[in-house]
Amino acid sequence: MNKKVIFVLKGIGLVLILFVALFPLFWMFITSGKTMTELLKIPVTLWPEDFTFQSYYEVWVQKPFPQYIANSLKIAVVATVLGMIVSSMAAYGFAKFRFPFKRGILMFVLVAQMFPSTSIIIPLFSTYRSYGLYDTHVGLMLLYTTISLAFSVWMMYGYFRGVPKELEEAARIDGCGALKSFIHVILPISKPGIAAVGVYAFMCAWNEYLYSLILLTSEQNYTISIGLSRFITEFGTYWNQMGAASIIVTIPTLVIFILLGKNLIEGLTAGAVKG
Amino acid sequence: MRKKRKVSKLVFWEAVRGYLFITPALVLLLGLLFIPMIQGFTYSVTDFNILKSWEYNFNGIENFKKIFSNENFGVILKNEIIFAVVVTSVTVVISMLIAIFLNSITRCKNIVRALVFMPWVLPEVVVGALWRWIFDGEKGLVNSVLVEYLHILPDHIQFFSEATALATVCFVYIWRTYPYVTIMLSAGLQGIDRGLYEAAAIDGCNGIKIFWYVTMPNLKYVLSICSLMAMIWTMNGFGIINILTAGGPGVSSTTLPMVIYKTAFQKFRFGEASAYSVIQFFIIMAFALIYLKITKATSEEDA
Repeated sequence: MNKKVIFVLKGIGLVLILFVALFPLFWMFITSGKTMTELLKIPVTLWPEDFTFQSYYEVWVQKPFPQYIANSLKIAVVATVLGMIVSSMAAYGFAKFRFPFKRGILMFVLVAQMFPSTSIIIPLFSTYRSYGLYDTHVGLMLLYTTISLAFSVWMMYGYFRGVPKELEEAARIDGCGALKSFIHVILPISKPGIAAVGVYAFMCAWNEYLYSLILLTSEQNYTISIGLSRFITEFGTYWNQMGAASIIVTIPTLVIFILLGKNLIEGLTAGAVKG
Repeated sequence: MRKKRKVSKLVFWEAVRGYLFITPALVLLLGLLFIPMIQGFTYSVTDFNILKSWEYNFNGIENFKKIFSNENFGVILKNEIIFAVVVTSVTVVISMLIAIFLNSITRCKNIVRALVFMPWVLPEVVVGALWRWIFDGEKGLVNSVLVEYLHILPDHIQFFSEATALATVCFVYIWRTYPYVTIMLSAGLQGIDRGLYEAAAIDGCNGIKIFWYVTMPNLKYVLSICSLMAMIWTMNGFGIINILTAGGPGVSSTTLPMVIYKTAFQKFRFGEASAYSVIQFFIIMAFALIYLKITKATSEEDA
């Protein structure tokens, strides 16, 4: 085979792969630009006859969607910041100190992320009710910090173990305590790892569905996931609004992923290369 | 003697410092994951039903008896197994092909990798909605293209009927999961020493042989880790199924997480739902133990 044929075949393969990954989202975008009358047509039109942003207006102004976004953003930001602090502290503890049961605790952290959320939610529901955390954002912030924690701790643990011991010893000689050398020496050089943890934690919190479905009841507290799922059950036929809402909800994820996605991919795959 | 005491004192303080650093994480993990899990175990042997009261009494293995005598339980368990096995195996094969392909690309590699990753970072609700709309029985894109535009099929396919719902759910979960496995495998492939390939080529191996005797053994660790992870995530999957089919029609696409959710939050039978959770827990833990064994075997070398 000559080079040209291979080049063309690769091009076709690439287009196919990207089509499968991205087209569904693009189809939502096309749908969001249609009018209600056009949506009722069979067969479905492949391109809006008259692209309109009417459904975005409806979602944004007539429905409490900005409220949902504000709620989700608030919860996700707090959970992300908390998650970054807590997970990097824990990972540092695991990477740099010797203590009893370390291996066992590490294994526990690893297994904790495999617990089915549908099981945990049942006792949590009654616990949250009795401690006044039910239908509050604080309750969700704590929970969302926790669900990404196990993964984040392992990711940072890998990072910190790669930091040369000499760096820290130098800091110790200069009179830094454990906490000081952690903040001034280790954290600054681990920025890519912390970014990866941040992206992961944000996505977990922003995308989460089950916990907010169970633990929130009042409409003014709803997160985007609940807001979106209500579109399907109550306004099942308004696919243009559903499309607009989906696109709006995906934008923050997209922006963060474009800016920091490289870090996340590196963090996720750091463990894959060895072994 | 005095020196020894000094050393042990140092060891003690190091341990204290270590524990101080991990305490916040441990408190959260114990309080919000581990203790609820254990609490769920205790619910599973009670008649807890919040429609009746918030008080509950021990009732032995009554819930388990009820589950095992339920005619739907066999179907649900079968669904769970088909779902986990089909999603994981198809995902791994597709991901392997895409990963090999991606590693042969020289230009724009990072952008392509990021774009391929997209389905994994979308909110579950959005994923569910996207595909419910595309597979819609009347106005779905797939039906319109196949029937009205290309005239390949005479009639619309119902993707959410009793016969097809589970397959549709499997398809969507594969779409959701393959980016993660692809990225992991692609990184694993990059880690393989190029010299091995050259040596194999000199020894006269062809493409398939090279893949089988050079690529696969070197990829074993990553492959087993990420396919186990994908399997566990799939078995725990709830959000997308709930949006796509809510487990229906009937129980045709109901898996364990789905039945736990329905029993607990639609019928409010917390005891029975917790008994389902216990079953789910032991299935998951069987796979988690394999996972631990693999990671432990490799991490001991450099620990």
